Amino acid sequence: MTTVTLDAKDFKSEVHPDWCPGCGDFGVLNCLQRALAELGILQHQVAVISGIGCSSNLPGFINTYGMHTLHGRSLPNAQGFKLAHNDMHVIAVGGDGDGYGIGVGHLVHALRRNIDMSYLVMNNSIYGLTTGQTSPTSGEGMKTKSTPFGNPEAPLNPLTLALGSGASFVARAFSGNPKQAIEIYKAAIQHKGFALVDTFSPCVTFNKVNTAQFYRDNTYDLNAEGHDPSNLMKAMEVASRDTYGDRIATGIFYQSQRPCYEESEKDTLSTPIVDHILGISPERAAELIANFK
Amino acid sequence: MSTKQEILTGAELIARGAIDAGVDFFAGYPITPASSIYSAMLSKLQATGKVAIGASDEISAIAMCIGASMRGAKTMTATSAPGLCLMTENISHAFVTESPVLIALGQRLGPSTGAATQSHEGDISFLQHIIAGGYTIPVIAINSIFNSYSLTIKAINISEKLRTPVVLLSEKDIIMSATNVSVSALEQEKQRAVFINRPYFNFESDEIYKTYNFNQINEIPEFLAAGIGTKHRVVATGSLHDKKGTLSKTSTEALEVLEHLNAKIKNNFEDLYDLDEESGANTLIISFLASDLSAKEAIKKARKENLKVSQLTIYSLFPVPEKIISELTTRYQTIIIPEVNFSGQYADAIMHLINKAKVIKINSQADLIKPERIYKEIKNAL
Ligand SMILES: Cc1ncc(C[n+]2csc(CCOP(=O)(O)OP(=O)(O)O)c2C)c(N)n1
Ligand code: SF4
Ligand SMILES: [Mg+2]
Repeated sequence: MTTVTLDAKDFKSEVHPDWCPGCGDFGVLNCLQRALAELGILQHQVAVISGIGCSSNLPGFINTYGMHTLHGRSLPNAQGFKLAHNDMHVIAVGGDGDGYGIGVGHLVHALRRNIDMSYLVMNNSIYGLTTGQTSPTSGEGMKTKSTPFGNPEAPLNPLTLALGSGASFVARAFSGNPKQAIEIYKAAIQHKGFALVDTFSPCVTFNKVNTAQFYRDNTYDLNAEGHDPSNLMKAMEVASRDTYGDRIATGIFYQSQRPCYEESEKDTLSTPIVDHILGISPERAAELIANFK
Repeated sequence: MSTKQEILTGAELIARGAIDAGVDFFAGYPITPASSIYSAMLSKLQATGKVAIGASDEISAIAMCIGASMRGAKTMTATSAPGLCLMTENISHAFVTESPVLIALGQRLGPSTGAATQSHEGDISFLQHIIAGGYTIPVIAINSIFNSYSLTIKAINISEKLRTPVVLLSEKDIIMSATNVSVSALEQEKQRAVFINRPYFNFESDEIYKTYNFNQINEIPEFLAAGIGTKHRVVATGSLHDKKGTLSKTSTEALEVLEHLNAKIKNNFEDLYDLDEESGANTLIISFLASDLSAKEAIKKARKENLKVSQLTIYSLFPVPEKIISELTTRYQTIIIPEVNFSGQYADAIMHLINKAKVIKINSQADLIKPERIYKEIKNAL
């Protein structure tokens, strides 16, 4: 048997990303490509499935199977895909609007369902593609096209939401810190269950508050500070304390070994549906035909 | 008379029309090209102290409008086809609960996510059949940037008068394009406009209030906002109900309520159109939306060359203005219908009303129809 080793560039597609120069999503794409290469996963073993948004264009730029679905609907598509073909790595990707706004209902159920897949959210606290409206993670008071007098709503905390919804893997990365992001993506892909990674991925065009410099100045690595990712209550505490403000935690907050959906449904899901033998056995067919004689 | 001009987009004029007509509640979710209306409403309406909110998705946006409408607000949302798909269930709900709400639909090329920045007139058939059960909601089509203002007012009036959701139909090239508008001409439109409110029930009356009351099948039930006074209970439901709003599966009264939903629109709707007839013409153009402007260009050129041609511009696409179409088309030999979709959706919707005349559809997929194509057909028809 020959083994093939891939490089990040093997995961580049022939389409050049149409993101604005400097967009944080370039970093996420690079880190994902490197994580896959470093894990020794081959292109045909991966499907990247997105919703709609600037960030959701990512499947077009990575040389794997891809689905660009509807705004907010990446997760049900990805879960269906995974259940029909459970020997592939399924990675859902998209934006904060896509995943925490219009699609948030799907996220809650995906977290508690715990299918073995990953979900990378490129969080820029803005709707980028529609040219800059307030998103569920925009800060209070933020002025955008949709909140010309300042955002009156409190931002959603994706990590406490996930931890409270039965998540088995919760992490946060920053596209400007590729070393850490690659390690987190690798852990998420290898995790047996649903892995949520919220990644700060600044929008250079429409968000002048949550910039790369802002995250460089205000983030710290909680794992380097000795955080124990098996402690749910501790994870909750850090996530609620260090998400907005000037001390923002990144790293793996929580990881549990609770059985994933496929393990609980072994009987039906042990063989991918695509590998199921169609029809009925010749003996059973003969029996049925005999009934009509 | 002032000669002052302003540069305005269709979206800005829709927002002005809506605010002048008394819209005091807007909820929306961004989507190109309807975001232009969303942005205009969010900045303008909030500035006047009214409610304008960016919802987390289109389902929430329209449901917020229905809730506010029950409280007596004049409500509006804006979207494009992907959002319209999500709103569909709630539009049916607004229809059955007789809740006025204006849905400003900025068309773009579909299906699915399609092409956000490409113009289209392709949601016509979808809108014709958008209510499960085969009912019609009014669809008012905007044909020019300038007319965006007064047609918005008319659409809101219809929604209020008939207590029904109404679709205000436009497309990218109208709402996102700007033109110079004469300030005094706009002021004249405002002076001419009438502003209609839904029929109200007197909250001090001793008569028992019924949310969906009518004597004649085509009457519009009087509205009482939930929370006004202490005498009456107001209940709304999207389940089959009697006049009071009590769940009732197949009672005679419940079936009568269903029949009334159709009858109230059919019998109270006033068709909106303009007719430009030229005596001696054998060719009639039936047009609407931005294609109407292409037709006007073509007609100008044809008439300069003494080619005779008439034009029927339809604003109320649905309910179909059957009377004018069937009467008028008997007098012409050729009917030309231009529209930016591949099959001629509106032509198909009115075909059964055209008896003898030859129908020529002019269609295009993603670009406005060039006046030259319509002109050629006018010439060919002679
Ligand atoms: C049903 C529906 N509604 C609205 C839109 C328009 N739309 C496209 S992307 C988007 C928001 C994108 O924000 P986010 O998910 O944060 O992605 P980003 O562009 O910031 O990466 C919206 C509102 C759509 N495509 N479909
Ligand atoms: S608009 Fe913002 S999110 Fe979209 S590509 Fe440009 S920088 Fe990135
Ligand atoms: Mg975003």
